[in-house]
Amino acid sequence: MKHMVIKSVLMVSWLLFILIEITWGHPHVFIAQNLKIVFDEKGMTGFNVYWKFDDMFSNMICEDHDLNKNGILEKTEIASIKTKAFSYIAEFNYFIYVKIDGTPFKVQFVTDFSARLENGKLIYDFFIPCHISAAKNFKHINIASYDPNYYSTIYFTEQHPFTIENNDKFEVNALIKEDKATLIYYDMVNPWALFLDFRLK
Amino acid sequence: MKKILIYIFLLSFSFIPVSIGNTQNPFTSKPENQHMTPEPLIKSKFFVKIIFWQQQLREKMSKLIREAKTEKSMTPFFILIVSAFAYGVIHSVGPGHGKAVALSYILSCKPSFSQGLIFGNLVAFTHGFSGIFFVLTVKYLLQTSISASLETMTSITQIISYSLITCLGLIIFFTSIYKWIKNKTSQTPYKIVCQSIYNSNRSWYHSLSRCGYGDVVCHISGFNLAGDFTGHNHFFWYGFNHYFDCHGRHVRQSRCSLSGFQSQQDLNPT
Repeated sequence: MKHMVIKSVLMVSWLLFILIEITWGHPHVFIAQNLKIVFDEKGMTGFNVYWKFDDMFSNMICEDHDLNKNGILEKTEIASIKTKAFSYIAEFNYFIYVKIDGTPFKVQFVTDFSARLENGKLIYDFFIPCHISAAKNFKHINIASYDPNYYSTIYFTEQHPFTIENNDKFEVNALIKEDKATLIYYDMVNPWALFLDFRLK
Repeated sequence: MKKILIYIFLLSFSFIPVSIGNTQNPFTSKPENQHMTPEPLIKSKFFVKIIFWQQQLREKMSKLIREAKTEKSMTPFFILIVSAFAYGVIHSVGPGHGKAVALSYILSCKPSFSQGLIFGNLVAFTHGFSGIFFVLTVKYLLQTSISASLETMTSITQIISYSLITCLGLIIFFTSIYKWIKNKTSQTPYKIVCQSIYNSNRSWYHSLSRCGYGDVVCHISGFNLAGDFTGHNHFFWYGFNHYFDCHGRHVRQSRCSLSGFQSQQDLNPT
């Protein structure tokens, strides 16, 4: 009888502790992205990045930063998110890897960062300045978004994955496809990228 | 023959790496605390796709829950039940669901069909219940006295959980030795020593080297010693390895630094 009780206690404890879901596989954070490419008189000035996070990450950030639990992110809460849940990825190029005619462009900083909640989902919005003057010949820009560690995955939204603003003076071709030249997560994944070509009309 | 096949099946679970998944969230962790994602033992785009399918199902389920709440209609609810079942099937194939341990129990205790059925359902129930229990506990602690973030709390919970599993394994193992000494069961001291060597080897190799090598070496020594592969073994190494995996991230971080992995550029893909 005594052994049975010990066995039962051990079994229940084991079930409680060992059977907790442990999700090992990467990625853990899923981000739906769309980009807004912005032009001015001379050429491209940069692009706006819009990230919509999955429920899990959104809840986690809300739990830690929406201190008054009102479902709205106030200025101080956005500042806290920027410091504690965004700025660290500066080390990772903000997960944005730009190539201009094949030459890498390092994203040093971002501007106009904002965070908000839409139907319980966390949205990050920020601008990456990247000035490229247009010329008679095409400029080839490749904007790939990925976490090199593949803890997070970034994919383009199905509807309106990108928009282009003020491009009347330029001939612009844009296409979203897998970047076959780049491999991450032990050569298992090709990140998605925006391939943009533009020149003066 | 049947038993041998089951043993082989059980052993195959042991090759599943347990030392992955300790990469910190890049959004919420300081760069100095982050490290490279461990290499998966099996590289396959198919596994990456499975994770995406799970995510798509989760998204679908979240949407259905919201719809069921707002529309107050039974249709989204029934679709939700079907989606949940499909998700459960895909999800339970992954590691961390006690398939090997459950089989170990069946092998060692030889329950009847009905007992096996009850055990299976108990596993499913406690799996869900333990998840809810721990999430609510962490949530309660966060809301009351703990000022740590959810990320930190998750890490602490993991360490506590793995430590407890290790303790349970040790208790069961020493209970077996005690029982053998006291009752002089049919189990020979040779078998117990084999188990002990197998366990300690496996844990030792895991804590020192990459998972795959440790597994191979330990299995070879395990086969040579004809160790008895029962539930106790799983208990011990499962907890022990996970415990060291949690702490091991710091060791691996140092190792990465020593081997020249110092800047993010080293992480960048080719």
